[in-house]
Amino acid sequence: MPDAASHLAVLPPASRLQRLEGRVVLGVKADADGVTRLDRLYQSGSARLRLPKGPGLEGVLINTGGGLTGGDLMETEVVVAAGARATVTTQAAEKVYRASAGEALVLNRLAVAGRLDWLPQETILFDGARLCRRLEVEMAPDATLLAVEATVFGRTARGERVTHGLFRDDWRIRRGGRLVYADAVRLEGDIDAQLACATVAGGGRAVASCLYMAADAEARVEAARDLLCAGGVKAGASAWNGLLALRLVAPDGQTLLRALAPLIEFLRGMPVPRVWRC
Amino acid sequence: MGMGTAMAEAVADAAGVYRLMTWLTASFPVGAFSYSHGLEWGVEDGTIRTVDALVAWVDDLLALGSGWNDAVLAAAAWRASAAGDWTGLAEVAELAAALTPTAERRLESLSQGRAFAAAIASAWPCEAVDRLKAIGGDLAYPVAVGAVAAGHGLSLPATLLGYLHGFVGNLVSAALRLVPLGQTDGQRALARLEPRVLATAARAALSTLDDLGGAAWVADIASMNHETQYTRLFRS
Repeated sequence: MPDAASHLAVLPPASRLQRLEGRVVLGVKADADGVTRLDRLYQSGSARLRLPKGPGLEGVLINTGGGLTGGDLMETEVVVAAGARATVTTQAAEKVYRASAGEALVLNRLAVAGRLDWLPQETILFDGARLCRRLEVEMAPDATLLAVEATVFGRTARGERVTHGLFRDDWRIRRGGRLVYADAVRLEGDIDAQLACATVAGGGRAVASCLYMAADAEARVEAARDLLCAGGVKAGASAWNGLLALRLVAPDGQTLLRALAPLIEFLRGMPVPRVWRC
Repeated sequence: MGMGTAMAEAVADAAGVYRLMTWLTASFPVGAFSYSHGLEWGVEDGTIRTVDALVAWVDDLLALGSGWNDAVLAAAAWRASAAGDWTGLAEVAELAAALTPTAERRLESLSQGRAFAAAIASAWPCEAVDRLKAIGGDLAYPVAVGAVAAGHGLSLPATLLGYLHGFVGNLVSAALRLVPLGQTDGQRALARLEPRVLATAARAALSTLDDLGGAAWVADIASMNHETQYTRLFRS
């Protein structure tokens, strides 16, 4: 028997009659000593960025609306100048509530001449959620990118299944102006039934896509595979043309994140962002 | 329309069938027989042991995976080529190559695309294949087929049906060698897949690039893991 609080949690907050919009623009550059400094920060609507003190520049995106639903729009733009290094993550898992109309749009644009670790926490689709997410990256030929998107279908701990909804996740990665990697994920309708298919997720309800583009990307494929093997998830890695692509499929979000964390630490040579460990 | 015109169109259609059957058959020199699209790993890890499992695997690829995406890309290439929009064709070619999700699936698509264009240029020349050569860069197989078919005036639905027939036929043929299954099992699989092939071709004929997208993650993972498979018959 669900209690009142958990019932309310299914619905977007009552104050959310207005469509939610938010936009963050973050620019970073290296100073004369090679230390990464904030160059530009713009925030509007229900999007905020915190820059906690600590080693390295780590931006933490916050959705003050507490989740997304149909009609909402969240835009993030990150510019990392040559010689600079930044990590961008999110304060919490992004919840996408059941949509009464339209789709939630999440647009992420990254321009990288130095190094960027794009590590948002997982996105959780509630039953009936409709989400279109787009990741557009422009990289300099010698830039480094680590990008991870983890998605959980339903609040798996309480047995929720996504029996209707929409999930689109489009990646377009350009390096030196050329499109070098693209991904087009699309699931619509009874998503849970489709996840059950052997070629889709074999009944798994949490997936992650990970892309590492760097001079040493191809050299790291074997070690990445060894880490995936130890993770207890269905996963694979492949590398070509200076990029390493990984896919993970897990029964639930917790198992997925447990497998993902060591992989991220390996590919960035430092721990996962602090907010991940809460 | 007079009888003469109707007869002339029927002859043109038959010529189109002849070409598609020639280009998309297993003996056309693109080396299709050497690729399993990750299916060899699906057999290795025990997922594909029966005709039912084989049909489900291929059916998923047509509904939610590379079969669908290839058909959408072939349709976009066909349309650009038919319209003489060579800039548009170059964009489709770039996108199709970027969408290959693993090193071996990339090899499978780009090697066949290149071999297909070379064989067409030698034996079945047309402006479209010259344009593909001029565009240069990576040429994914569905883009080569779509562009050339339009260049020869073949209809879009027939082109997509031919492409998907080749896609399915090659996977089933790979499975017969790997599982192993008998010839009759292979025919049963092809018969059961016919409705999905027809429906996918029809749906793709009306698609745009905005309809791209699937979720065959485990099939991608199978292709990634195939790279590590110790004993193998196939290059993908």
